[in-house]
Amino acid sequence: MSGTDDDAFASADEGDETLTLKQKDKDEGPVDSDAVNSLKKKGTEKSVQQKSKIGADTSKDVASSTESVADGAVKHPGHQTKKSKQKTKKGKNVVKSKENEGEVLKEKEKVKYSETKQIQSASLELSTSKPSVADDEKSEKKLQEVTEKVQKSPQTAEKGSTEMKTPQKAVTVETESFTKECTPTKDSSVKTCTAEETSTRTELLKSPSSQEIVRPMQDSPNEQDSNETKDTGNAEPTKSSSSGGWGWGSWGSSLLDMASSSVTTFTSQVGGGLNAVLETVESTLNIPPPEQFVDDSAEKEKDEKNDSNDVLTDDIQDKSERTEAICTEPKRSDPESVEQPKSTTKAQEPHQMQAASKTSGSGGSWFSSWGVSNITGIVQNTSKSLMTGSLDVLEIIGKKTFDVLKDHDPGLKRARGFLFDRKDKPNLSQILRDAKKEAEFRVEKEKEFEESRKADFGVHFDEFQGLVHLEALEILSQQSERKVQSLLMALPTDSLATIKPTLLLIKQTFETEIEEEEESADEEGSQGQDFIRLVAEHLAELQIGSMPNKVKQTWEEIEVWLAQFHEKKDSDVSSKIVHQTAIQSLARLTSKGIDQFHKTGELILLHMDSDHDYVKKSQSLASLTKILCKEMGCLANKFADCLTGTSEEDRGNEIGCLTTNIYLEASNSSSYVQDGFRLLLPVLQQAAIETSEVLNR
Amino acid sequence: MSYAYLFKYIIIGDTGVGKSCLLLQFTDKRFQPVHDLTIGVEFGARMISIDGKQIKLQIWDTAGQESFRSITRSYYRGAAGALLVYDITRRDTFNHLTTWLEDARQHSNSNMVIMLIGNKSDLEARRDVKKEEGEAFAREHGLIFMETSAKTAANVEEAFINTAKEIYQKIQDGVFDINNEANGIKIGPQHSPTNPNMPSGGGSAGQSGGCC
Repeated sequence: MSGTDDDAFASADEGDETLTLKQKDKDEGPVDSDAVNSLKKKGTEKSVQQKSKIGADTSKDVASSTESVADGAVKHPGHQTKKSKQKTKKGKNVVKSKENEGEVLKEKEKVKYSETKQIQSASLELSTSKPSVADDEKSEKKLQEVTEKVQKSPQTAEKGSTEMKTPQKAVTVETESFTKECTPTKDSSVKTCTAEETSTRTELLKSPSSQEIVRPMQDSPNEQDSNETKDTGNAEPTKSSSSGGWGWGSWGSSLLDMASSSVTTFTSQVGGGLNAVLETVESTLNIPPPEQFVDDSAEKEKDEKNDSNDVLTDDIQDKSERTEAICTEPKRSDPESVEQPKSTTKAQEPHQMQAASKTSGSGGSWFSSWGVSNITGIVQNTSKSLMTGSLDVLEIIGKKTFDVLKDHDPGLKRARGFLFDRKDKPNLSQILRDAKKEAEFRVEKEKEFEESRKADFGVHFDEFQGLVHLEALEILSQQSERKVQSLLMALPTDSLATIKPTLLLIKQTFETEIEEEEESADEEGSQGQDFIRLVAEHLAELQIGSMPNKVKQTWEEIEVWLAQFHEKKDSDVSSKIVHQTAIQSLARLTSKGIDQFHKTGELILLHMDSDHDYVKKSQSLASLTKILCKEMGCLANKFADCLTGTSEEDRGNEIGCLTTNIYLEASNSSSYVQDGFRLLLPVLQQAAIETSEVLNR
Repeated sequence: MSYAYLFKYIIIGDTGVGKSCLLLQFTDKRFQPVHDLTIGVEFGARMISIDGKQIKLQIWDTAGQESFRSITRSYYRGAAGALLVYDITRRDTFNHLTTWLEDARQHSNSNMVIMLIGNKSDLEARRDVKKEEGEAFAREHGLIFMETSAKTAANVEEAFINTAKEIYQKIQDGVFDINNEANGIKIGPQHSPTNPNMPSGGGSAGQSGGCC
């Protein structure tokens, strides 16, 4: 005992310091602070007086208890201060009594049971609502008694083992506190933080408060439940009291130091992560709260009675925390009423804690008698299972998340991309390079398009106004058609009969012409030289004034090109250019042909008089069409010859394709010309009717 | 070349006022002092750019002779714009405007944009019709008015392009139904991306004609 006294004293000093710090931090009401100060003074005095004695620790405990009381009593300082004073006095007394008393505790065990029951009821009352001050005092007394008893028993025997085990338990306690802290209802999270950071003592002292704040809902029912079953219910208060009883005095400080260091490291490492995880895990997986674990295991391990005192102390701490939690619950619900109970319970808790730490002596006997060892073992096991279980849960969660990620993201490529997307982003130069490539590709495509346009019949046909002339010719034809219809309707039957043969003749000319064309186009070869003369002849036959020969110029230009090509036969005129020229020439000639028909139609309508034989004119037009179509074939042949001339250099297959294309477009041209020709039918019919009508009249 | 829209124009007016010369000046940028009489209709085409869009103007240059009237009338159909031309040195061409306008309105769609052009503005000494008279006529009939010279090319470009702008504006306003080819507007074979480098020309000159 004497060897441990110094340690205890040192720890006591530390406790005072921490207390003062706490007071500063918490900004307690003036009355509270006064009370605390007075308490402190008392404690210090005592410590000075009882340096050699373990009682110094108790003074600290008292001080801490007063602190806690003060915390709780912020709202009703008067009551609390009084109570805390009472408590402190009591605590001192208790300590003294403990010191002096021998181990007569076994007899008192029964008494303790009753006391604990009372305490439970008191706590229940607290949790429910408004216990009377008297009740509180009673419970306090009872608690004190309990602590005395506890202190008496197992001190010496358990000392050695406690030293070994305390750190672990402290850790477990803290983990519990962490889990509690995790729950979102943190009113004074600052306290918890400070608790973690500061020494174990402070942690132990503060952790209760954090617990209280954090998880009142879960704690209260559990504890109430535990209270229902006598053993477990008793266990909690008894433990707390017991902790006060056979405290830390001799070995406490070193233990605490060890515990604190280990805890701090552990908390720092695990704390951050665990908080969040445990929170979610507990909420989602319906993991029973730590209290429940404790209870369950307690039932199982009742039988084991001979466990180390260290365990006990740890258990005591845990349970003191819980009791505190119980106390806090009422705090929130009805602050006023709760104050007193809180103060009592808190006073008890610190009492217990401090008592446990300071006076290592008496309480153990009681515990051992009805199964303190069980409790310690339970606490150990529960804490272990809690840790391992929570770790398992963590592992499972991790695995599951990984699996989920992997399922939808084989190789985790996307996840990596998401996490490290900056690296994967293409840099500017790459973008520019791509853009350049794209632009080049586009230009190339445009070139190709232009090339294809150069060899496109339709494009050239449009460019040379062939399409517009065809459109205009269509308009003209439609107009004439309507006119013919209206004229025929208006005509008397006799005049209609006279005109009908003419109209039929004209129609026949237009229809038969097509068949002849198709035959003649193949039979007759290249009579190119005659073309201009023939065209001129037929246009003259139409007798429509100064009819411009639009075809002539174009045809001559084509002939010039062909002549030039044959002159410089060996020159490198690619098949491509020959092909393009061929298509252009055909399109141009076709356009001019359509233009010619269009003009012819207009002029026929313009120069209508009775002298004209429209049957003859239609025949002239038919032969003109025939000549034009024939000329298309001739030009195709000529260009095909040109192509074969160049074919020796180029691939034969390509030349074949181009030649085929030229012939195809030539036939296309002749069909255009024939279309133009056919559009003239209504024009001629109109002219025939109008002129004949005039004759009739 | 590819174009976004194709506008069909008709050029109408008395014979000898310079319709074909205007067209030649616009399409070939040259002037032919002696021009053959136009038979029926002749065609010209040119690509212009409005608001960054390539627009092909397909111009139907009609014969002004009275004898061709019946034929050329049928060509009015489906024109988006019309250039109604008179000779400022010949009052009779100005006096015939009403007839031409009635003809044009009758045989084309009502939304057709009509630009009144007093041509031969280079012959100021022989002027017979004051510019104010032309402006007044245009104002009276809701036309755009301009005096041009096919010989000096004065205002020739503007006459064609401002008409196109007016049409384009009507398209933007939804007056013209692009999909109805009777309006004289065809959508190009490929809606080529607009060329942002092409300036849109003389700004809001389309409204400078002085009409209402």
